[in-house]
Amino acid sequence: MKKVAALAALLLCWAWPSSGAPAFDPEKVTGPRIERLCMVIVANADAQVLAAENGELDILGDIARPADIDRLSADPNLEMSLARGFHAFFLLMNNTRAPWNDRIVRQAAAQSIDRNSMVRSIYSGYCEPINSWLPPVSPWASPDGTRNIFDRAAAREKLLSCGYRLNFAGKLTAPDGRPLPKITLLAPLARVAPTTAEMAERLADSLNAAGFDVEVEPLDFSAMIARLDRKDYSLAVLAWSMGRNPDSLYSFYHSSMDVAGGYNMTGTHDAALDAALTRLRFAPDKASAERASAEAQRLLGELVPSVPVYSRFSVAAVSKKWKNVLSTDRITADNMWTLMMAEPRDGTARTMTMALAEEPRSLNPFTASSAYSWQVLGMIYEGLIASNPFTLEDMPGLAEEWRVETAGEGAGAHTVLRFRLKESLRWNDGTPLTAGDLKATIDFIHKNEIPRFFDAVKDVAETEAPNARELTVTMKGVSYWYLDNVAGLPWMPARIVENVRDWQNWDPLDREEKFGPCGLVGAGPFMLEEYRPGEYVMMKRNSCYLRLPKEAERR
Amino acid sequence: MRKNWLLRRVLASLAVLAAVLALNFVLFRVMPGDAVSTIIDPNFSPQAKERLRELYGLERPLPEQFVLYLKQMLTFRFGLSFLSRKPVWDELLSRLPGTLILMSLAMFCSAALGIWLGVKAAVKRGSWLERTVLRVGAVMSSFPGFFVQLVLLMLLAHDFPIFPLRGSLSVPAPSGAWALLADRAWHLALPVLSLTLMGFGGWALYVRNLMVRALGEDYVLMARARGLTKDRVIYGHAFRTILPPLVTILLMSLPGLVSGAVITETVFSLRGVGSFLLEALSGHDYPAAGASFYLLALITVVCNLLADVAYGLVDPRVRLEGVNR
Repeated sequence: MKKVAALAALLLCWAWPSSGAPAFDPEKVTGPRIERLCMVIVANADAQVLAAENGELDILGDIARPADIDRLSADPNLEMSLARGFHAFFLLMNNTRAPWNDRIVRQAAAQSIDRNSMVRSIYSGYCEPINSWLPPVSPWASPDGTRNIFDRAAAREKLLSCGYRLNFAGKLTAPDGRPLPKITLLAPLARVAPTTAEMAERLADSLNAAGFDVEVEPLDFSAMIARLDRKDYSLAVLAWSMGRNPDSLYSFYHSSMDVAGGYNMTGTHDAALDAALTRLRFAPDKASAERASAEAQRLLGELVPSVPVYSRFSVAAVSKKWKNVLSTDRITADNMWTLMMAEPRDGTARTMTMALAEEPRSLNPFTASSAYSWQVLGMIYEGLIASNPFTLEDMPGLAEEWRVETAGEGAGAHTVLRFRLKESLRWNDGTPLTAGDLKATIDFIHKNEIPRFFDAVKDVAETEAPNARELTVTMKGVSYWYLDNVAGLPWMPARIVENVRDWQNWDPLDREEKFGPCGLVGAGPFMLEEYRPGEYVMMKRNSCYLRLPKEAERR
Repeated sequence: MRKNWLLRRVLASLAVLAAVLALNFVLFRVMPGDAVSTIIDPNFSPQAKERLRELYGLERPLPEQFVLYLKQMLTFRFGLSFLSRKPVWDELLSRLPGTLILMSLAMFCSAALGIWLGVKAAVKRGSWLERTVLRVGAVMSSFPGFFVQLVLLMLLAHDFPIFPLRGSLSVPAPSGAWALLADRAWHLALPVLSLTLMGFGGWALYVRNLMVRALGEDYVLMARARGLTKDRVIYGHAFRTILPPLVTILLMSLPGLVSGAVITETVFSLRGVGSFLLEALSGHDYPAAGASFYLLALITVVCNLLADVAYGLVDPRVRLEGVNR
């Protein structure tokens, strides 16, 4: 009963955004209104929950365990928010191996899985059953991505109509009369990922009920990935976090990505899908991308190269001591907009605290790879384009306007990105931010082939900054997605990037400046004040931030 | 004779170290996957992965990697961590003080409490004290560490907030050396208490068994017959004879001071070598994992050697073992 009440309360938050969508215009938001933000490193998930209850943490995001959500929902001092997430869990099928090389078998398998009951029993309903190859939160996801397709009788009928038969033991035999091979389903070890392992067992049960002969093989995660890479598997379960844009579908299902280190782990090869994905990946504009995305998702629905199972909701808790907390059906309250707008309800100025689940091991933006490092760096660097919290559509960041143009024709066609920066932008050290700085950042990353941003800039042919506010990036090929790839780089002043002598060893916190300048200079809402490894990261408001309220600037 | 005995021990230790060095390299490389292959990010193309592999030196032939690895291990220049791109040596050094303080305090407290209770239990055989020490000791050492620690955290940091929930410093850290020291001690109290509670039982049971045997020996009867005081008999005669195995255990526990306690560090959100090792292993961070295991093996071998030498010093039979044979 308690669980039902908690879920109902959370879903209510989801349906009615706390700040009231109609009155809210993200472009008019000013902030940050807090002077300081302390990111406290709390590695233990139980301690995070206890700290939120004790009031030691004002914001706790990424709450994954149903028991924690129930517990925190019952706390009268906390406000919970729930949003659809980017996480998705898939049942991968090796399309190059029988019986999964038969589209009908794949479709029947997808139809045999009772996602709703699995999600209810394992995740207490804090997940969303999906039938979409993009996360449902993405504005590009197919509208019927959450339709319940479970129909075991229909799945069996589909198989029987194509010549498959059930033998006396209730197991399927192929149209040639031979029994289907015994199938192993690779899953992570239960002691490492208990819920995923349990989900794998349920999936195997579902498929066995439909006449397959599936057995779960628990495996170390790295060993599992190595087998997926070699296509040495029949079925496997894997979850990953996806992005907003649909071009990731190209990486997972285009035949050219069926190479060592590529993500086409299902071995999907289909000419029509390849064509749609190519049109999607290299779409010259948004309209073409939308058409190609819809077509690719329709084809994926027919081909079923993998089975989408569920997407985990994002859940966050915020102390009621704070007002102006923003959560929508697409983002939970632990977002940048909240950090910008939040103010203590009692009017007393104080530091806001939020949990950081792991130590940010590196704060070098060129090499930092962990999500925790980027949780810190993401507050220091600002992108050219931001994301609307209600629609996840693009909205102005550092750039007030931008254009994606296609120049040239035929084989010589290429995309040109034109950005016009907002007026009077400044870095967090007070110096003016110019298009020349942005050009220097792109050139530096391009020249050094920095792996993390390699894909974003590898096709850059030329960068120009005709004046302080105009930036033109000419690409070698045509793709609408170049816009997001380039706009999301960590922009730095030219004097910083030009003085980084060794980007791999550069430590922006090193006062001796052995490999480059000291300091994390960005244009984001916060700047680093103090970092105590293993303890906390203290951020202070960037007094030169572009959205800063006038009164704060004066102070 | 003593020289030969020592030489044999040193050579055996070097052989163990060489084997560890080779295994350390081979085991990590035969493990499926590497630091790059486990990346699942559609924005990280196969070409970008190749570039990363190049930077990590993973594309080099294995013999070349082995030579480089040997050079790094023998010169104690362990290279850059794949995950943080910082020198592994610096990372280890920055974590070592926290781990050393936590583990040595915990070891001291659990050993002192365990030895004291073990002696008392042996002296008062059949009493309620012995029964309590045996039962509580067995129960405490059988409980999973994370369970005991979570219960303590819940009780003493949440329900009755006497101790802090996390870390080794308050937020923000207090200024002034004394305030800082007091703050650190306050943060360390609960982790040390938990490790002591889990660790004293083993010591108590071991010491009690050794002491029971020692107290039944003829020389103890003789000491009593000579009219020596009870304490003199217990600590001056019986306890002294159980010192060699205790010294050995103590020395053999020393590597644990450095390797840290992965679970304790995670439960109490402490920065230490244990969590570093765990991250290095799960992230296929070869330089970090290789260096950590090499150093641990080195410390273990040295402690083992010291234990052998110490045992030989306090018990001449060990040194003369070969001669008698």
